[in-house]
Amino acid sequence: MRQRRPSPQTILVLRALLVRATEWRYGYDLTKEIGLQSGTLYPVLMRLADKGLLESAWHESDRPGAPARHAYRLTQTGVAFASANIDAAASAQGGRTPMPA
Amino acid sequence: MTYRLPLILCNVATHLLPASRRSWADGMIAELSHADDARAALNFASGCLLAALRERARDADTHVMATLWAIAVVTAFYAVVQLVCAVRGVAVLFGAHDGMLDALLRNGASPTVIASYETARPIVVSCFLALGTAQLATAWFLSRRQIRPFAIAWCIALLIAGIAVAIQLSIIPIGAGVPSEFHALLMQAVAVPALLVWLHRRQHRFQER
Repeated sequence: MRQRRPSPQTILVLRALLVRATEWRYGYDLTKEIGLQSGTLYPVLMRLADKGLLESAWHESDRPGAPARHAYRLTQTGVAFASANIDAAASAQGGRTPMPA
Repeated sequence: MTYRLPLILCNVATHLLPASRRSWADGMIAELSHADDARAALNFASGCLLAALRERARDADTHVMATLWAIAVVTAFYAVVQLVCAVRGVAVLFGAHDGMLDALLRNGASPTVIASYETARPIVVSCFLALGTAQLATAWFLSRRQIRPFAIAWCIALLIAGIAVAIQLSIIPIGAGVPSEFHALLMQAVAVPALLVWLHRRQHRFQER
């Protein structure tokens, strides 16, 4: 079966996660960094996690009294998937960067 | 503006998300305390609510329950119709006007047919009562996703419906210009199992994906 090409929003998320692939990232910070609404970001993150491309963990917050944060980063498979699809998207668009939704 | 509304929205999102996404919901709530200000928190929480709605709409289990409820509501409607017929039938037994008898007389039914109809009337009324009750039970079990009790209640309902229709047809053949339950019951008997089989296959396909 042919695999579906990731959406432009997914490419944006993958690109942001791939920049610092080893670092854990947080939902709110990603919305600010990418310019995507949380209503778009979270479904993308959930799909990536379902496919085993994203791992998540709970991290203590650096703000006193704040609850632990849900952190995300690409898995090894996710890194390979992101690299392949970002390149493919770039060639398909002639090197243009997808715009945030 | 305070963080109260964003927190309420995120809590609603938590309840909307399927149980398998609970950690994501907790993660969304935790992010609220890291928003730059209350407006940003509200914007973030509104998005989380939207994400939760999207996830709920995609959830296979939600699709199954929505379909089961839809079938249950239609079945309950049929049950109410049968019970209304039963109540009217009881009223006829106690001397109220009988529209069916009028229809038979209008269509020139013989005295033998009229006599058979009047003899069978208490049994048919009992069948309507039993059928309505069995169908209500069917709708209830379906809405609770209790498939085995549903199947039993459904078979009982079908048996009663079969008896009622057989009695009716033994007295008055179809197409004699007299109202008949036959087609409505036949449609229901075929449609509900067909819908359930379709639902089961759809769910199976969804799980395989």
